[in-house]
Amino acid sequence: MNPIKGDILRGHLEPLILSQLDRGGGHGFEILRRLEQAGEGSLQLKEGTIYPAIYRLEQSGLVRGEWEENSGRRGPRRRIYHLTPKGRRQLAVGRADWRRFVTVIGGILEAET
Amino acid sequence: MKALRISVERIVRPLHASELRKDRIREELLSHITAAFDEERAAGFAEPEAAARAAQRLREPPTVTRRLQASIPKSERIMFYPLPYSQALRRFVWTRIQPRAGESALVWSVRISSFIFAIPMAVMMFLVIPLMKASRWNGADSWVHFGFAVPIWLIVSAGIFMFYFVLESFGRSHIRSTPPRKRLPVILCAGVMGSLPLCSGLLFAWICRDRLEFTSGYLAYLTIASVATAVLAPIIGAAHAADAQRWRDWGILDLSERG
Repeated sequence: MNPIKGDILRGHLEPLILSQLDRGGGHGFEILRRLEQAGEGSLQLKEGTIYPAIYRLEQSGLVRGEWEENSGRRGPRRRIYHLTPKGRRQLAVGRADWRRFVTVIGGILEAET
Repeated sequence: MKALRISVERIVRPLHASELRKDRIREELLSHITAAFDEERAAGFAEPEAAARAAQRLREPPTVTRRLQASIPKSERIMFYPLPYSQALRRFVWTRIQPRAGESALVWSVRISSFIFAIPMAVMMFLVIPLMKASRWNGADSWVHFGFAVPIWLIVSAGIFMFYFVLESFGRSHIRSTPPRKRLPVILCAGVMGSLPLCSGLLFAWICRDRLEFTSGYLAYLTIASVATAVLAPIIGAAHAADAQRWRDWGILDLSERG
């Protein structure tokens, strides 16, 4: 199967991030790993593009970020993101929209002529 | 590793955003690329190759910069849009005010405050006063008005000197674990700094009482400056110390000439 690359994912990346944060808080690198695991190797994301999406979600109040403190590791701090109640509601809307999209488009694509 | 920091700088430096936001993005991307580098090293690649692969994983810097730029609020993008020659001006100022290697906090603070005192004075002497003389100069009264600007600006510069002295001393003492007794002048300086604008304002108002009505206006400004200084100095000092510690931890001190 062909890998799903960045451009196809545009527009879906934000709900995908929300879905991974629904499983628990995580930093950017961790969110990316979770997405790759969930995609079973079919998702090919360029890693730098996840941060603009996260920042947009944070500005919209859908996720909340906080710097990791006292982790015991040296080097730059990681920023841990959590889903907000508003983000949880948005995720539910995103899931409903996706089901509708799959039903409609799937119905068209799979219809036999 | 310097190659990783350079990769991040290529993305972050061109952003039109506040330094606060850039620092946040810088730290987060550096944390990410370091994790990617560790993975590449664990996969058996040598350091230079692992650094190159980690940078490639982020995507081409102009694309990431463009997308990050789009995620920054429009008001901030406009506010921090570089004006013509602003980078050159910034570089000119920054190279003059940044601490030089081996320079003490005291010398550095004197240099900054002298710089800050000299520039407005030069502008006033060589630009504002000649322009005023050519248009609506009011003899002795105008000289009195400009005469007041000198001691006030001197006080402001003294405040700036102490402010930077306190900031830098706290920052350096935090890094180098200076013995507490050596911090005493810094703590005294912080106390004086907080009270200086208000005390000088009171003195100024007392000297000029019943003579110049506008002194009451200056007094109000100095009171505000005094309160703001007392509130801001510990906040900025603490942030400065924390930044210094973090920068030392992740070795970004050598990239301190930030654009």
